Amino acid sequence: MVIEIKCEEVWREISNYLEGDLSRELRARMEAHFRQCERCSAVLDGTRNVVRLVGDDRGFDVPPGFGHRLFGKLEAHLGKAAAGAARPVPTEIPLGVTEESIALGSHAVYFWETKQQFEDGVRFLEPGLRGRDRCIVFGHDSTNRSVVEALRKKGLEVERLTAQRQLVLLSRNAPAPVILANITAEFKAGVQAGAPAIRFLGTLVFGIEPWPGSDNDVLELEAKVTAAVQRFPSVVLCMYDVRTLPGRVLLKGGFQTHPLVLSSEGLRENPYYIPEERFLDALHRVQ
Amino acid sequence: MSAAHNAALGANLPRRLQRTRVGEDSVAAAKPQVESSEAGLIRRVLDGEAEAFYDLVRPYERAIFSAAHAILENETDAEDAAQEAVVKAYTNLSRFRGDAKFSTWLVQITINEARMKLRKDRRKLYDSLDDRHEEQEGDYVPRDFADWREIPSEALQKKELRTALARALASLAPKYREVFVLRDVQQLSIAESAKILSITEASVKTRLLRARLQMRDALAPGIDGSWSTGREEYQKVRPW
Repeated sequence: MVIEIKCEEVWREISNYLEGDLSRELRARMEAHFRQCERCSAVLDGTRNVVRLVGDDRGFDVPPGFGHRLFGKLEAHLGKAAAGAARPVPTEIPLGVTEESIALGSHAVYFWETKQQFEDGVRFLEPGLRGRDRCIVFGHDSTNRSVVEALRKKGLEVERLTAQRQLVLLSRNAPAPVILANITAEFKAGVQAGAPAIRFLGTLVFGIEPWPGSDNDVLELEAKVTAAVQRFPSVVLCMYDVRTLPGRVLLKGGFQTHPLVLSSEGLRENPYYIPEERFLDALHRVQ
Repeated sequence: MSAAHNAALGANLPRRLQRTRVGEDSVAAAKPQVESSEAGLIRRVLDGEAEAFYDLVRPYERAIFSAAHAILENETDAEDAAQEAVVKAYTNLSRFRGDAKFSTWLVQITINEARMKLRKDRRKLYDSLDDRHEEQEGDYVPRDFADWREIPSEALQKKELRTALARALASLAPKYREVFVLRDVQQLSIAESAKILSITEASVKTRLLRARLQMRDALAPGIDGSWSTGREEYQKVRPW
């Protein structure tokens, strides 16, 4: 005969029950109790479900690029020990948005629609800001502020990073040729300051503030960035707001000027990419 | 881990997880090979081959991060402590005796590093948080008795669920969270968790009980009620 057990006693032992760490007698009493007490069996099932979920590797996110940065201090330590031993020059950097790496010299587009997708895109800057990369944010002032806010939410000290010029905000306030010159100057400054890589996050949103040039001005800038980025140890990621941008800008700017496309599925080669010269030819012919 | 545990907890686990539950037969069978290769890597590092250290540590990146994050509750600080721990583990590797598993030793260093950082950076905050929960040693009474529909492991692909888990974990007091992370997230044994935290196994069990019940309560409302047994029934226990 099984002696009854109260709910309170069951709750006290429920964790040990899951561990299998109970006498046979107590276990039998609890099992009898679960059969007739819906509340306690709900607690048992829920707790077991939680334990199973959190034990799965997919349960908790590790920050993108964590594995790359984990050995940062050790490398500095070993670097000191080896007194000036040559350090390998990186050819790719952690992407930040997904677990992938991206080759230096890449120009990728990322289409976003929701605030969450926007914040996911901004994660591109995280590994750089936690490491030593120079990070440049380029867009309308209001969008730049949203980027800064998303970085702050990630626990990054935006003010300090800006003061140290590890994080640079560039405003979309001039026509394409001036902007391109400013961007190039910032890239050079980053390299001279010893940054191992430059991360450039451009945002394109329509309807918040007027663009300083025409749509074609933006398209020309995008087409020329692909070549410019290859001259520096840099990666450019352009975030396109699909809610507000006109179809023509999405097609020609988003799809035809970026060799790579990033989505939640990962980084992919873009089959719609058209090399700069042919793209600009076609653009000017239409004009 | 006993057969009873498997029946209670592990019977429906995916194969991958069953393999990783500490102390199960399949793990025991795989152990010698894993440990000998770890021992080999350790020897190579001690012989001056620093590169081998990366291979030694890489399988435990996730464990290092979750341990540091459990204490520091902030990604930036957790990364900082994790990097410090890696340096400490490297410089002290010759002191690793092999009486514990390398992973246990590494996580222990990480926990110590995180605690040191916490004391240094925000001592008052930690003390006050811990004090506040110190009085909760009495029995924990579940708050929610809703019978929710089982959340399948596949649902972990949804960011909302991962966010809900992270939020629930963050809601635990530090001492419960530490135990929960070691035992249930990293799946170390009760004995290993006790050793790492320098507490008794009885304390691990007591804290684990509260942590598990609190985690369940924190997750019971679901993210939108979708993992309850149905909206109507659900609203009886959760009026909002």
